[in-house]
Amino acid sequence: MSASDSKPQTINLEDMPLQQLQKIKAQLESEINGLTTAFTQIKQAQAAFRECKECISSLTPESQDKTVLIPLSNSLYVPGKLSNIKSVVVDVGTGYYVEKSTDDASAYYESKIDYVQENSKKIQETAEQKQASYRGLLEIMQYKLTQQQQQQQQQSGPNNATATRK
Amino acid sequence: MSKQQREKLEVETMAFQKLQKEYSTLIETRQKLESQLQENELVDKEFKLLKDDARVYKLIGPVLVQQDKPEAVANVDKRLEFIRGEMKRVEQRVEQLAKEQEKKSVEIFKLQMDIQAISQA
Repeated sequence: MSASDSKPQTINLEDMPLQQLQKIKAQLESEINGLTTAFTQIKQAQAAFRECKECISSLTPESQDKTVLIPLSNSLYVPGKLSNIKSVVVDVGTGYYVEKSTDDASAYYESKIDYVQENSKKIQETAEQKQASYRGLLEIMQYKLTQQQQQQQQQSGPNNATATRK
Repeated sequence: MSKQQREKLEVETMAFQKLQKEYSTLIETRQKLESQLQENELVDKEFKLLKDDARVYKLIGPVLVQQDKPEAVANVDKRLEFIRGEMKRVEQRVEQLAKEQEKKSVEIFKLQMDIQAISQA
């Protein structure tokens, strides 16, 4: 919907009244804000996947039978032993977990990182586009404002002259 | 005459606002459904890559319970179906509401014009 709307808008932006321009400006601002929060969220998700991948790579053959402390709560730990370092259980979403070999899990996180990367690129592109149109809009608004001021000055000055011209 | 129309205008405006409210909640629902659909599609894709004897667990409360892969796949498929159906329903309602909104706004505009004409006369 917005794609078809933006075309005629850009053509006659200059003919639009300031009030309407202000509305478009507010809309663009909220869109840019939304995109920025989406971007930070996606970056966080990517960091989380990276961390998972690093955790898997820390499961080397040497860690077999190593003692670890397992958190039962935030402050209570019990000692345990790593008995299985060949497979991990991966959260694939919507409450489902899948047991995977460490290699498979690593590949899984790699593909997730790529997937998120692609999306973040898309978001960045649209954010840049929006920002460009936002700047253009600001310019037009500035131009209109000065024009209006000039008109007001002219009207308050030679008032009779404009009246007779009409 | 004028008072009657003013009252009518008020009623129509209220109805219009109600429509707008429903419209925005519907848009929200649609967004939620869309993100759910995406998440389920990702899970579905992941399941397709798995071997049939892969061990799948389902999170029930804080406990991971093992589930047969075919059962999990069937579950996700059913969920996808449900979400898609729901999306279609919401989509239709959105369209309907958009039309109603347009109609109402035209009506309100007409009423405003009428009132203006009367007050000027």
